[in-house]
Amino acid sequence: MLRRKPGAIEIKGFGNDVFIILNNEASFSDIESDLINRLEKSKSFLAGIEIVLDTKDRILSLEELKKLRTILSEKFDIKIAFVRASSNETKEAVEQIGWKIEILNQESGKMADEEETRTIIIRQTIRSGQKVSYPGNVVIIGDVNPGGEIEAAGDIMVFGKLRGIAHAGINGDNSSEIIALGIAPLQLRIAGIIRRSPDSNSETDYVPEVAKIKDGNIVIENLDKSRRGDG
Amino acid sequence: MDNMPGKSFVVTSGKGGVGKTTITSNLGTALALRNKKVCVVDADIGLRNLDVVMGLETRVVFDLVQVIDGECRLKQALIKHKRAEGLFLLPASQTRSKEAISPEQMKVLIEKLKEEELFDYVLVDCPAGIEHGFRNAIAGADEALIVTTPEVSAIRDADRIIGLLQAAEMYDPKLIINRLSLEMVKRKDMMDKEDIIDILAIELIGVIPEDEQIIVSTNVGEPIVLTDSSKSSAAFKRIARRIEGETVPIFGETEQDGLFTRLKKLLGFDRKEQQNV
Repeated sequence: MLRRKPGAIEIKGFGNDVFIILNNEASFSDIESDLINRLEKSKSFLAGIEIVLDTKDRILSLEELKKLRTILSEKFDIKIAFVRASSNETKEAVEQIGWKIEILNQESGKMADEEETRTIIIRQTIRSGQKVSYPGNVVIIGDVNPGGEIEAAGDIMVFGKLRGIAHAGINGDNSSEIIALGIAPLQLRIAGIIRRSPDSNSETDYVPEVAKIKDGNIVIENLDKSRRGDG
Repeated sequence: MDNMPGKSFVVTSGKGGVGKTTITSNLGTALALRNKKVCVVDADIGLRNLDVVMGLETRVVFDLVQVIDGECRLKQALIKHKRAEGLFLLPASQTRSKEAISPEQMKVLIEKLKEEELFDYVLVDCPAGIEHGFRNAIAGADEALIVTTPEVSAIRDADRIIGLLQAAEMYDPKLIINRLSLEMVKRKDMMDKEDIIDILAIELIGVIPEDEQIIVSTNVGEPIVLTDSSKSSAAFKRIARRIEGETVPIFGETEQDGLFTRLKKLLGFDRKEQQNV
């Protein structure tokens, strides 16, 4: 599989929020040009929406922020919901320019709880090279193809065939489950435990199944039986 | 019909060696045989092949990069096929790299082919991979034809390409399955077309059977649809008809059935099945 060259910026969706993440390593001029390039390509669905600008550990001057504002607000009509920043210099500059700074982390415990009960529903087939990552539960209405990946802090449910990689409980929640109408994945991960599919490529009957942790291993059970057992 | 705007297709696969170039040349020829004005564009800059496969190698004077750089006019670079009326090739440059042109320039070029040169169909032969060359090739395309062979790796790459096309707002690609061996499928040694569609979940527009004659035809530089009435030639012609909006079965009768079934059909015992095809 070809690896994508890391760009100067990254655009990612988490639930209803779109994040524009600035790469710490990239030069500011690369960030500017990459930003324009990427937004040019996706302007039809980004125009008019609110995004979160994640500056990582980068120190941004007021001048640089103004340049970003010109690109985002004036050129592409994108609003900034808030800015995520760890450097104090950047935070000060952000306040001067009049954008909101994200308030987080101090009460991260509470935040995490809320996030894990949030659920995102995605109505499309997740194809090779596509990845869904969400700090809550993920519901896919469609298949997850080989080479596609789902990551969730909570449970994963696939209303279709799961043939790619699913990782539930990425933050370590052992009680997370992976449920699909058919499970023949390359790999299943729940919290820190990995189970890969058997090497013998036996013909799989696709029936609704659930994967969960039992005695330290991931087991896959028929969904009906599993539920009867619980009751 | 004359006033209808032309349509551009990109022939793409992700994986190399699955038959993009062969399919571009044969499909282009098949459409030209239906009295359409067709331009096949080689977007594989630096690894020029389409001219060789079409037997036009010796006639290349100017190329696509020179057109874009303004070193020659578009008309000068277009090579007329010797045997298929209405078929033209726009060759790639062999000495330049894919970065020599941009997707925006490619888009303008394809528009020109459709609007100024009045081509009914423009088929762009995409290079393997998902990098700059791929982005160039899809830039001016109205629609995409995804080529795969019945192999896990080719299908995986096709799936990736479908995802990338979605990201580029091309939502309805059509699938061509190349090199399907019906004998091997029957022995369950090869994935059937249903297995492939089950994964890729896009519309199938054609199946090209495995055919040794194709190797012969590409080596002599004569598209198989011109020389031969083989199975693959018939399959290409059916895809051309489907592209033109006709309803045609994926398989021709001779490929689909054994002798016994054909005999049954002939004698009229099999009417129901026939209607369901």
